[in-house]
Amino acid sequence: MDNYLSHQVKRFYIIILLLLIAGWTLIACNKIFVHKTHADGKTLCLIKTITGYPCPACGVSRGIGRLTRLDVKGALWQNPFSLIVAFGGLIMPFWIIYDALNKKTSLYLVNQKLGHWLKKNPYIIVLLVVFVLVNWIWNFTKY
Amino acid sequence: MEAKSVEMFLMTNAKYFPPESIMMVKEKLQKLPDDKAIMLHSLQFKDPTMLLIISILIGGLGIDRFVLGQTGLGVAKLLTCGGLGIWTIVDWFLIMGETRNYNLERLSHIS
Repeated sequence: MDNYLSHQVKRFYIIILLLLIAGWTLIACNKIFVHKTHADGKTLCLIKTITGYPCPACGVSRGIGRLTRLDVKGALWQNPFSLIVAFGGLIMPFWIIYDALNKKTSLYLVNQKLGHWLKKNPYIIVLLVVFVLVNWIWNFTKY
Repeated sequence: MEAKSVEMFLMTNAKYFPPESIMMVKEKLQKLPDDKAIMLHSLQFKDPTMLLIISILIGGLGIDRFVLGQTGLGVAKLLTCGGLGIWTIVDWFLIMGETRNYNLERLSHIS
């Protein structure tokens, strides 16, 4: 069972690390190769390219681009989630490095505690889902 | 548990577990006392195919992770709008394995 738990913890950290790398790579590629020509409808987003419709995350990379120029209002207009993604994307690498150096699993434990707390307060999840859906509808009108 | 019951259980439920763990599951079940074997039948396993369908349809909102009891990751997926769409697509390939691991974890709770 201990083996299984450590396997679960490792799996969690690997997922988060790979997602961070993939996310920042996508944002960097978007910034370098596409951002200036975005008006032509060119995008690296697979979902937008395949379906032609914006996903709930549409505008996040552009929002983070605005944040790099300290334009918070512009970032909120592009996609309010760009603030959350930028905050998480900046904090998580340092948290993972801290855990790796100190041989701790604090990020995993916080994730577990958050999970237990949300299971006791499921209405928060419902509110978040509604927020994402409303934002998605707004995306349809914008992009 | 009797060998015959274990065989029957594996015949109907093998699809719910990682293929590489079937032998381990078999050994654990054979060692399982009869009073705990009753609990085994009350366990509800998640169907990997059903989770794949959920992941394809509403995976962008993290619902697949919520169903597997990974609430923290579910919220992270929800708030990043499916990890900018990347996590959504990656989970289409991972979620069946995750479901089988989840079922194995549930089984390990009783044995």
